[in-house]
Amino acid sequence: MLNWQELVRVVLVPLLVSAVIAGVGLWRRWLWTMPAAAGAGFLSGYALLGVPKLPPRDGTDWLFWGAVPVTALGIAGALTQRRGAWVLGASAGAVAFALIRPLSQSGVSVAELYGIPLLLAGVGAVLCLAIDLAERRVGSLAMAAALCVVLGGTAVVVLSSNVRIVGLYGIAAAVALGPVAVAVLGSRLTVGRSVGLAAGRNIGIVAVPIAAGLLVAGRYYPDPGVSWTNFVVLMASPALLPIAAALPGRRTWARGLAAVVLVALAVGCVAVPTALTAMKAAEGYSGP
Amino acid sequence: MKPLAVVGVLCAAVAVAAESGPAETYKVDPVHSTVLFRAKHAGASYTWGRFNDPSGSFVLDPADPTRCRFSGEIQVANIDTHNEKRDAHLKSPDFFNAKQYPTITFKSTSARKGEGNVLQVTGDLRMHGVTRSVTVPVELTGTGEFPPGTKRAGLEATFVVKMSDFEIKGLPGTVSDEIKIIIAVEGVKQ
Repeated sequence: MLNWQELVRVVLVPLLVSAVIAGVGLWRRWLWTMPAAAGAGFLSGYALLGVPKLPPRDGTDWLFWGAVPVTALGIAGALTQRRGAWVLGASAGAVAFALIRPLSQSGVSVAELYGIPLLLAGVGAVLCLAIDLAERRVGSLAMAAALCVVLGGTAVVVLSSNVRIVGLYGIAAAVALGPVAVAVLGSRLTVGRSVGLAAGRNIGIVAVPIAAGLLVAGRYYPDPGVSWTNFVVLMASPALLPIAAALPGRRTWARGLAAVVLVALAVGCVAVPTALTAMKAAEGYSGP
Repeated sequence: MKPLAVVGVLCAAVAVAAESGPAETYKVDPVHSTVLFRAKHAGASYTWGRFNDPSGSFVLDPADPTRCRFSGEIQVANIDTHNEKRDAHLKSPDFFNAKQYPTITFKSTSARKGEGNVLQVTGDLRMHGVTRSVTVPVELTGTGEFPPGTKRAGLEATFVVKMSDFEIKGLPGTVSDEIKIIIAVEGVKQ
């Protein structure tokens, strides 16, 4: 359960910040405001829980400082509109490395220290490519909604792994995508209507590395942390988007709906049981 | 070894012994030592916990309290609040971040005589990767022998630290920033 202060900090404020930025983008037809809204909404919620120092005391706080350049990359991807911008999703590896590196003296093997970030760099780029490819068939709204589901599920799983504050950051990240989805819905930014303006891909350049960072923090810092099964399913769930895009038919909204349902099913399969198990384990425990 | 060298070593040893006087070194006995802490929960009650198996050593010099030395180490993983869920939470980055900062250490830098059996010990307390100088009143609770021939000495210290001083995030509004710590240590003479 969130208390009212947390509700304000990680739900209300990120929602407002994202809504204002996305609203301006909707009004001025500025595509770059969509990744900016996603990143700024997340950062505002994070900052209200405490702006970490640079370098941060806790390794998990590299997520904050990693999200700043990641947001800039999303904006750059939107401004340049290069087809190859999906490569920027590889920044997920850099975020993961920043988070794991502080644990290099604490039992994390060299293979994990370098292997996991490298793997996540590849996965991040591939996921952004998948989003890019699927977007034309399922629409930007479905992309934003699916990524919102992924971040929300990630937040729930991380919250269930004993590191509450990182879970709260995840909620802020998920909430920040809500206004973006609404803005995409209400604008001509939808790819189906204005080919070439890939809002979903640029949101993905921000959301995928943040999701990777949340999962790495949830996996490596608490004990027990996020299981590898949950990690892999949540990280890979956006890869289901091209499956929905491959569905036949002329209706983009139907494929978009299928895309969101597919991703929600995958995320729900791990998030719901994990949350229920954690709730049962925490019966009678009302916090420290 | 040449005779001259042997004489030299002996002279040096005698000189050191004369300088150190009756100082006695003790090693912390984890079986008879406890580190307790308490925090206020939800502004209502005090919740207690402990760190099991503390380690360390101390030097007592009744003739010259300023030569007393204290050092200790606690493994954050040994936290025990009689609730596994809470223990796991306290080890997470919400609090101690045990994976990144697995130990809490204290090393004295000076000591002076206080009232009665109390020493005012100043030292560096390192927790969550942050080192702060703290002054702790350390009471010498007694000495004894158990089993016969094994000398033991006891200490107890009570002090308060703020989590925010050590950049621990905590849960503001739920857990108090101020944490009271009680250390009761028994040392075995070496």
